[in-house]
Amino acid sequence: MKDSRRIVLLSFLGLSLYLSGIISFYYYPENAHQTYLSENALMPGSARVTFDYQDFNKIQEFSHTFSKLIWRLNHNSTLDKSKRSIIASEWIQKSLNEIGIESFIHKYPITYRNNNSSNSNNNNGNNIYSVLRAPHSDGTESIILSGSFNSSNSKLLEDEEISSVGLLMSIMRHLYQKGRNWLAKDIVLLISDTCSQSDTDSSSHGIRAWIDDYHDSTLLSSFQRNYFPRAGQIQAAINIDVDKKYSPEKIFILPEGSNGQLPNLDLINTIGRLAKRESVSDKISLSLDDPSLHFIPNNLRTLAKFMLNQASGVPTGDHGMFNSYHIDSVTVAISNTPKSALIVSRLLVGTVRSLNNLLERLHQSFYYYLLPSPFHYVSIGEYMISLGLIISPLVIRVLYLLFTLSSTFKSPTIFNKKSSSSLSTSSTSIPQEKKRGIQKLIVLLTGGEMKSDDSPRDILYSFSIVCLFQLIGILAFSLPLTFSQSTQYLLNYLSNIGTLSLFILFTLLYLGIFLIILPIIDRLFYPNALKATSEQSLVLKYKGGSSFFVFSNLPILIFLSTMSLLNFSFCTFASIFSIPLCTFSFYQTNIISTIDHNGNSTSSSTLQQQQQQQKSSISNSNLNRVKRLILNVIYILLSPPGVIVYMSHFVFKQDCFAFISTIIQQYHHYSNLMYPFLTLIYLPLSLSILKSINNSTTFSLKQKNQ
Amino acid sequence: MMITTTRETRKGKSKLAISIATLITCLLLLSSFTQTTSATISTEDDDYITFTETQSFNEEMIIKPLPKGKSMMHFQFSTEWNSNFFDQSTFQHYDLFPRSIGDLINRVGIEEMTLVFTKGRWSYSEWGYPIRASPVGVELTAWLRPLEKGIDSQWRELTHSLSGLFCASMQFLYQVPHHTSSPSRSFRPEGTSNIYHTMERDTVPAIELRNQSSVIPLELRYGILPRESVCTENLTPWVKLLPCREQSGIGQLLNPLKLYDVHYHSMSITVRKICKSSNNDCLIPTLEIIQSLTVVNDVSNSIDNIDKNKVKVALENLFEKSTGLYSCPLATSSKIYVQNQENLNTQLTVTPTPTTKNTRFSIYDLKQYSIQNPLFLTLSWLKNFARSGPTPIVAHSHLTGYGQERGGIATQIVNQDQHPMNITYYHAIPWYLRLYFHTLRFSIQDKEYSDKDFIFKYISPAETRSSPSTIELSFEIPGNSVASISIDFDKVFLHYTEHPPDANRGFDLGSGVITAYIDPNNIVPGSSLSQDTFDIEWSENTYPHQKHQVTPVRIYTEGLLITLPTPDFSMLYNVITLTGTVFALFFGSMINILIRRFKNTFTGDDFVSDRPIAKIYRRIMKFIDGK
Repeated sequence: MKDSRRIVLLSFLGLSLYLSGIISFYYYPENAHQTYLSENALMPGSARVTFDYQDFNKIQEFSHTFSKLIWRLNHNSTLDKSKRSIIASEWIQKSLNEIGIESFIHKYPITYRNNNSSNSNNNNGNNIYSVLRAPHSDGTESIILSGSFNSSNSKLLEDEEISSVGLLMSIMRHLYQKGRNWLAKDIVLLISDTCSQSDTDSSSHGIRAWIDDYHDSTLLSSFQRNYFPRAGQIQAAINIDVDKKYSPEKIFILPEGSNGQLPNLDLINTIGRLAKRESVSDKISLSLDDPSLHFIPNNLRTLAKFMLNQASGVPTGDHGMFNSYHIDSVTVAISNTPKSALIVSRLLVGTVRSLNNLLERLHQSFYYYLLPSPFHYVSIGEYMISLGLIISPLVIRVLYLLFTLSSTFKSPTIFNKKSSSSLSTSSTSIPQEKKRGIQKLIVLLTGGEMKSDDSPRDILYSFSIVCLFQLIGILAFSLPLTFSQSTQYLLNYLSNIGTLSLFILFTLLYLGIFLIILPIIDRLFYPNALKATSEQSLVLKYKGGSSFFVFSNLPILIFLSTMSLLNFSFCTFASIFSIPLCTFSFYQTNIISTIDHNGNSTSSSTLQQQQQQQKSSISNSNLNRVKRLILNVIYILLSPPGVIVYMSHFVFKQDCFAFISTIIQQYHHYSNLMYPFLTLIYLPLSLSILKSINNSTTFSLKQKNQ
Repeated sequence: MMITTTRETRKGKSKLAISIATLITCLLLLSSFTQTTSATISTEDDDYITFTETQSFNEEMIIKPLPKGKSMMHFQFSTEWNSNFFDQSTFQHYDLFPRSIGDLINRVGIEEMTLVFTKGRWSYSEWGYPIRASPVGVELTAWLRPLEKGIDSQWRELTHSLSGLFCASMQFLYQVPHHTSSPSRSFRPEGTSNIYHTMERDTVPAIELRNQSSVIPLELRYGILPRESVCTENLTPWVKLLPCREQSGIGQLLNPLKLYDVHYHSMSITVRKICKSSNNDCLIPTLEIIQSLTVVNDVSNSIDNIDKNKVKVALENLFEKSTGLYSCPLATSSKIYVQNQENLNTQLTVTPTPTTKNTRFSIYDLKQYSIQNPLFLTLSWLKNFARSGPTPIVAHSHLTGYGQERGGIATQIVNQDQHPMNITYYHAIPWYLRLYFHTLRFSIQDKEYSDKDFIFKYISPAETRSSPSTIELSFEIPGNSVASISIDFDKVFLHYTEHPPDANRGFDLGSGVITAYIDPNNIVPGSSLSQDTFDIEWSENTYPHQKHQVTPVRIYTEGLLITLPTPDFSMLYNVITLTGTVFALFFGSMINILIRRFKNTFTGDDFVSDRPIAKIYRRIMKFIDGK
């Protein structure tokens, strides 16, 4: 009785903390701090940017010449994809060399396989890159400007429209001509051709291949043909994306990198400060506008979008490739209308100049922040509180149970036994009733006696079960990664059968676990459990006891609390989703264990009472059966296959197997947390929840049969 | 300023004759700017050989047009001192030779020394080889004759004196010897005073001391300071060593404002002993100090340009000296060489017409110009002329890997020549990169090399907080091939005091040194190599030592910047340590209050604390324990 009251108290506390954690996000945008520049050396806007209309005309000239070239190439039927790519790349290389900047073509093999076309005619991708050697430097530090084009996109630019190639080339030309007095770091220009990429891929393989090769030690023997000049340590990267999809009124700063990694806040601040100086700070935006969400206040919408982008782990632009190499990077995106091109070019030149001033790497400002607007931030010290609140119900529960478990073993206590005994001896003089009253009071105050029914065997049992589930999770995680070829094949094969096959697969897995493996383990740990129940009906204890709950929930707690440092947003969404599941599963098991307690307590009573008790338990179990059935259905719907199907159908709008292969690939490329979470954490968790429900079911049925 | 000195080793015998001779020579040379003194020196068999004590100064400048509108200007000032250096009193009288350097030579026992200050990088593939190659920062090479005080204290004295002399932090080469080492094969003495010079490359150079008639091996100390930035404060003391300073002669062009606004700037001072007279087996070496300065200017956007494809440059505009050029009055010779590069289509035109012209150079003799009639040199050449072929040996190195835990260094040496070449690669890597020598991979054209394929291989591990690990490999690289070397390392977490200021910039690693031995027979006329002057002995005024069969060419790889795990030196770090301390104090005392058992000394009963905090704690624990 006391136990249940305490549980109600704790669960109420947990629920309120959980809700307050979610609600706290609402208050972030209004309480966010103003951003400030930490690194004084950046000095944004202290020098006049000389990028003017002459350079702007060059943007259009380059853009249109290049666009016409691509258009011609695409209307020449004799040229195939790779040929087009090479000609276009060579054109850029030649034009850059004419400007006076040494430039090279970096060829890389495309290992990417399309789902529908299996022919891999050893395609080569092309990157054009050039190094603008700063006259006064030692060549130990550099800054990257990157962008991409698609040589297979035959769309001709309309009048005055610009492309990222034109923009980048014009900026490089400007830097080459005007920058020689102030450049102190090498500028690396990297333009990659995205023609060989499928549409589902949001980021460029070319940039990844280049950055991999840049840091690689495999030394090419074909030196003359594939000379790969380096420019020292890359300190920052700015990626430029010019596309129709962006709103022409805005200039977008997209900072979210792979697995939600962010650049140093100073990098965003610099662009922001420069925008203020150019008096376009109101144009700066952090995410694409979604007209359907306009009922949410602007800052909150931006924050939500920011967190969603971070949680997905997929970079918002090509800059995401640089994150994994510890290069601060950001994408600046504009539409291809000429409206903002001049301003953006000035911003970029200004940013390059600021970065060029840096003596050290960007390190002064924050790396962990949330941005409700480009000029406001929420720091890690604030947002971690929310996550703490959200996961607190589970933490409280687990801690509570851990403490009760500790009574199973003889633990050294810091309390003086003597003092409690002296308390009892002193109360002998007090009348019996009064004594009882005091005890009642103590019980009320302390919330009753907390004693675990778990024997060491239970703990061992639950520990091994959790280990088994975790092992299944590890297998699910590592097998597709080690046998990526056959996994791909299998997924292709299964997707032809349909979504049902996913369920069949998981049903087989579940049946195998619950009907074959678990009974074996049960028999190992509780060899005479069945006998015992047949003889004395009331030895009914839910296997593993509360220790099972503790052990099954430890992995998710550890995962959420540690990974929140890497990707806060993902962990927040994951915990909002999974914490109620975990906590709720406990109440379910707890109901059963309270019944057991009742049974235990009446064991010494008369037969009549026992029968009554049995009757009540029968009716109880009937009710429980229905309850459990519903719960089973709910939990099975929320198990990994269910989640996969919902996400693939409603969020990503793809086939569920395509979705699986996408998240595996995303894990490969961006090391985002979706795949590890689903396999390593969520699959074992759902298994143990199902186990804890069904485990008790079988026992109560046994009881009914008597 | 004219000082006549007489040196006598044996008094009495020929005192009169010597003094007469001295008098005559003094009279004869009074009008001349070089000062000569006759003296005698005795050899073991009691013969007297006379030698003349002379000090002379030569100034030269070489101008070479480079592709893409750049030009290389190399200034070379050499001061020679011919005297009896076995006599200590020689180092008490100076004329043209700088006293500060002379003192140092005597005190530290320098047999040979080269100190180079460099800013910017030399593009070997684009510009060919420089006359004196150098790594980024400061490089100090010293061949020391062991003295009684010990080589370490000699090195200490040398670095400290030089840092005082040149306003640079050379003392760190001794104090923090992360970049100080002694390679065994890469560096050879440039002078000829020592024996074993012309012998095998792997023998230790040594000198023969006349008075002790013993052979003493020389000690080499090699140090680089990659982070040292070079500026005017280093130039000023360097200019002070010149007899005419920047007042007249070629030195006039040394305008610091213009000298540092360049792509490449390398300032060096070399002290060496050479054999001027070939007959008496280097008994009397000549002390030579060569001060050279190489700059690479970008002249394409100079104000003189009218034609877009041509580069036109006037020397006085380039260095902002409108007075024109004339010779330094103290100089024996003063010449400007303009390299013709006749095989290339440079369309080089020089005005006025040179004094003499040969196939390699157009030479201006500044002795023929004067303050009234100075030289206004104007050059013009084609902006985008191409070099005749690739530079034979080019080397690049870069860091591999990422993150703050481990990484690697990879070096590529490219031979673009037809002929195989002997290469020595040397790299000193500071101790804070913990090298794994088993990961050292060496391959030529993808063919992995094993130990026995090297002509010479020497690897020494680092000593923590002291000397660097060194790798020295000698091998033959076939024609048209690439040799690649790579090694992995772990990054050490340093003490916070060991981080340099601006810790987050990272650590600079010194360049690797590649010494290529180019056989002069393989230099095809008209090839890019034949266009280069890559030796300090290019001019007629420097005394070439016995011509080697092979000329060593030095190539330095790029300087590297590496980030080590850096503690957060910002406010946050302070806050964490401070709050950590406060918390530790708080919890320490708390636990002390709660856990400590107090016992009544008389009854032996436990004493239960009545403090409110102890009560609260007990209640919490009761709630948890359920007791």
